[in-house]
Amino acid sequence: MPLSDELADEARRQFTICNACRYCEGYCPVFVALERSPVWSNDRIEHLAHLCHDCRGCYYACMYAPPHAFAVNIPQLFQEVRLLRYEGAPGGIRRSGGAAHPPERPTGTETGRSPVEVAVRSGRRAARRAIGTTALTYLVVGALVTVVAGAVRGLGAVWQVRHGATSPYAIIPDGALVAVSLAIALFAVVAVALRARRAWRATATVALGARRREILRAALADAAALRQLHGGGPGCHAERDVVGRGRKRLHGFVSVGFSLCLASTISAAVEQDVAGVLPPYPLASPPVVLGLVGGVLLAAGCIGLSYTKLRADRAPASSAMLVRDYGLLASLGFIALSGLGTFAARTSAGYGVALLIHLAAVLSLFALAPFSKLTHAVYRTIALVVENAEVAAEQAGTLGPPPAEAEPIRTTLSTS
Amino acid sequence: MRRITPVRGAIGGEGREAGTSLSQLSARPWDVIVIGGGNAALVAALSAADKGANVLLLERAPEVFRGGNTRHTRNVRCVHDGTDEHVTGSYLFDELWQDLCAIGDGPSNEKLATITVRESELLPRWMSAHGVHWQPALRGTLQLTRTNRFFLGGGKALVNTYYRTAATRAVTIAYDATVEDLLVTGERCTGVLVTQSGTSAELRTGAVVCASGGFEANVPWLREYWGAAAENYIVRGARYNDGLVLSALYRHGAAKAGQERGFHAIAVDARSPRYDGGIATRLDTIPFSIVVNRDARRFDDEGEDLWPKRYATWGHKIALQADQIAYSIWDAKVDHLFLPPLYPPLVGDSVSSLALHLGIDPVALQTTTAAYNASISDGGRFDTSGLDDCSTRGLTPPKSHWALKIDQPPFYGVPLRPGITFTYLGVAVDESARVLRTDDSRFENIFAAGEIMSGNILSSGYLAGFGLTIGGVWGRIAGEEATRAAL
Repeated sequence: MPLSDELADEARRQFTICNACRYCEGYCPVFVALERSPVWSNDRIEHLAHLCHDCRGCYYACMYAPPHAFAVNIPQLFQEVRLLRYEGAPGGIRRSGGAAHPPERPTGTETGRSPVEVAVRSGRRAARRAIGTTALTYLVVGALVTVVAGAVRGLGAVWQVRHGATSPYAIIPDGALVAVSLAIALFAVVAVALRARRAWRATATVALGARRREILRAALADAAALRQLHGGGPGCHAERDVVGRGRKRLHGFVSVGFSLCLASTISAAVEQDVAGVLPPYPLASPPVVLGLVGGVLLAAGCIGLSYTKLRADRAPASSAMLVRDYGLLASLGFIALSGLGTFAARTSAGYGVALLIHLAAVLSLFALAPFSKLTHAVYRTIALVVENAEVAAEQAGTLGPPPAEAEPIRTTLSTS
Repeated sequence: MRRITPVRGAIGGEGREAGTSLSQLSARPWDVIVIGGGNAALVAALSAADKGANVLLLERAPEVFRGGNTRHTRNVRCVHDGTDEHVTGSYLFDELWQDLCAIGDGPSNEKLATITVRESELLPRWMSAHGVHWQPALRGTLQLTRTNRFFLGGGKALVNTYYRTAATRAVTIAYDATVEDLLVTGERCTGVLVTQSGTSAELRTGAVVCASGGFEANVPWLREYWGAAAENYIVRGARYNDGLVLSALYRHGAAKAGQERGFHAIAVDARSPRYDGGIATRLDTIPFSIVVNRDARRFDDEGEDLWPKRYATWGHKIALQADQIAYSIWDAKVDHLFLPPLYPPLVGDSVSSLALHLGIDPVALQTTTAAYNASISDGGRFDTSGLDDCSTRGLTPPKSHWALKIDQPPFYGVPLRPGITFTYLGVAVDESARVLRTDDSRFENIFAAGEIMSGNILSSGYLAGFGLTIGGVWGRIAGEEATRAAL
C-alpha cells in the first residue's frame, strides 16, 4: 500500500516544525537529512522513516509533543509510514512536492479524524488481516510438510519410537525437504530483492561512485552496530525515564541468534553435501552447537524484547506496528523454542511431530518474510547506504544543491 | 537500563514514593522548598540535596509541561578555555564580560554579574555530573559554536535529565502545585501556602528558593506597564509564568531589581500560538527583508549588524509600533537564504497584491518599497556571511547591510509580533542569592535564582544562552546557601 497523501501531508507538517526548530540534530542523522533537502517528497519521507531506528529520544525531547497544539510525534509517524512499506506497496508512490503547511495539527479530515488517527485505524484493519494471513500461512505450510512427509514415509514414521538420536530424513526425505525449502527460500529471496531494488531506486539520491566500497562498509557497520539506537549518547528509550542500551542488546540477541540458527542450517548442508556426513550430528558438531547457542539467544532476545514492549510507553508508538512487532517476536521465539524442543526430543517418540512443527514454523516465516516486519533490516540498511552516500557527497562537495538555489544560511542557534 | 518509578503528582526521592496529597507533603517540615520547575529550580534543588538537605520542589505546571521556559532553551554560555570537544575554541572571562557590557544597558549590578561570569566556568562540569548529555559534533551540517555549549536534544531533554537525577536524590517533586503565598514572620520565611487541585495547605520549611520565573504570561500585570499593547504580545514560553510568587515577595517587602518594562523579546510570527510556541516561531527573515509597520512604513535599520547580534532587539522595536504589529517583506531573490519560516509566508505577484494579502495599505507599501529601491545603487557586494557593502543611500532609517532591491516577483511577507521570552523585573538579591528588602535589610532564608532575579544581572537586551547561565550559577548558589540557612 503506498504512503497515503494524508499521512505524507502530516509528515510534511511535522517536518516543517522540525526544520524550524532543529533541536534534535544530535540524536540521529534523520534530522540532519531532513534539513539537507527541505522539500519532502513521499519517497523522501519513506527514506527518513526507514533511517529512523526508533530510539525515541526526539519524542521525549520535543516541547511540541502532544498535548502541545503542534502535536509532533516523529517516532509514531515513522512507524506508520514504515508499516505501509513492510506490508507491500504495489505500484508507484504518488509524488507531491513540499507544499507549505500550517504547524497546528489538522483537527480532522473529511471523516473528522486526524491523518494519524486515520492511519491508526486503517493500521488496525491491516493488523487483523496480517494476523489472518499469518495463521493461514502456518496452516497451509504445516499441512504441506505433513502431507509431504506422510506421502513419502507414511505418517506412521512420524510416530515411530526409535532408540538413539533420529535423523530428520527418517521423517521427511532429503529430496522433498530440500525441494520445499528451496522453493520457499527462493521465493523469499527474489521477492525481497525486488522490493529492495524498488526501495533503492525510489530513495537513492546520489550515485555511490568511486567511494562505493567505503560507503557500503560504513552503512553496514552502522547497521550492524545499530548506531542510530545510541540516541546521540544516552541510548534509546523504553519510557521517558528508562534510557539505555537494553533494547539494543536484546535486539542483538535476536539478530545474532537468528544468524547462528541460519549458520547451523548452512553448516549442516556443508557437513552433508561436502563432508558427506549425514545427520544426526553429535553434540560437539557445528550444526548442533550453532543451533543450540543461536536458539537460546534467539529465544532470550524475543522474550526480552516482548517484555520491554509490554512495559514500554505507548505514546510514541503505533499500535498497528506493535501488533507486527509481537507477531514477529512470537514467530521467531516459536522457531527458537520449537527448534530447541526438536533437539531435546530427538531420542523420543515426539521427535517427528516436533520436527514437522519446527519445519512448518521456519518455512512459514520465510514464506511471509517479504511482507513482514522482517524486511525492516533490508529497508534500514538501504536507508543507511543512502545516508552514508549523501554524507560522502556532502564531504566531497558534490551533493547537488537542494531545490533551493543556495544553501540556507545556518543562523546562529539562539535561544531563550 | 535504569528504571525510575514515576509517581503521579509527586515523585519520592531515594526511591521512596511520597504521597500525592498535600496533607502528606505538609506532614513534616522540609529543609528546603524550591518554588519552580525549570533550570534554576532544578539546579537549586539538586545542589541543596547534594549538601544534605531534604528538598521539596513545587512545580506549578502539570507534569507534561514541566520545566518552565527551560523547555525551549538549547544551550548555555559559559567561560571556558576551549579544551573540550563541545565547543570550538576558548571563551575567557574578559570576552564574556565584554559581550555582556555590549548589550542593552550592560550589567545592572557589576558585583553580581561578575559572580555570574566567573562561576559560569564551573557550570558545565556540574551539569555533566548531574546527568546532562552534550551535543556531539556530528558529521553533516551540525555546527558547534565557540561561545555556547549545546545540550543534547535541547531544554526539555535537559529538564527530563534533571528530574530523573532528582528522583535518585533526596528531592521530592510535586506537580500542579501553585504557591499562593510565602508565610513570612519578620525577616524569616516559615513556609509556603500551596494549592493543588482545589485544596490548599501550608508546608513548613527551613528555607525557600524562589525560582519561579518572571510574569510574562500575566497580561493584566504587563498592562500596568505597557497598557493595552500587552494584549498583543505573544508569550514564547510557559503559560504558567504569571508572577504569583514574585508579587508575594513584593507584598512581604522584597526590593525590586530590573526595569518595569524590561523584557527579552524577539520577533515572532504573528500567527504563532499565544503561549508556548518556543523556538520554532522565531523568524530570521529580517536582515533579508524590509520591515514595515501597520502604516506600511519602515521604522528601523534591518541590516544594522549581524543578525545573531541583533535578533533580540526586534521584539522591543515591534512592541513600540502602533498595534504592536510589523511585516517583514522580501522577494524571490532572497527567498531560501534563511531558515524556512514555520508558517508559510503570504505571497503576491506584485507588492500591492502582497499588501492586500497582509492587510496593509497597498499604495503606502508601494511607496515605501519604491523609495527603498531608489536608494540602492547596483553593484554592491552582497555577502550574507559578514557585513557587506549593500546599503541604502539617503534613506531614513537606513538599511546598512544586505540591502537588495525588492523587485523580483513573487513577493513574500509575514506578519510579526513581539514574542516575549521573559521579563527582567524581579527581586534584588545579594551575593548569597538572599532576597533583599526595601528597608535595606535582607530575608534570612528566602533565596532567588533564575529569571525572577535576572534583573540583577541584566535589565535589557539579551545574550543567547545566558539565561541558562544565570539560572545555573544562581541556582547552585541559592541551593547551597538555602541548605546552610536551614541546617
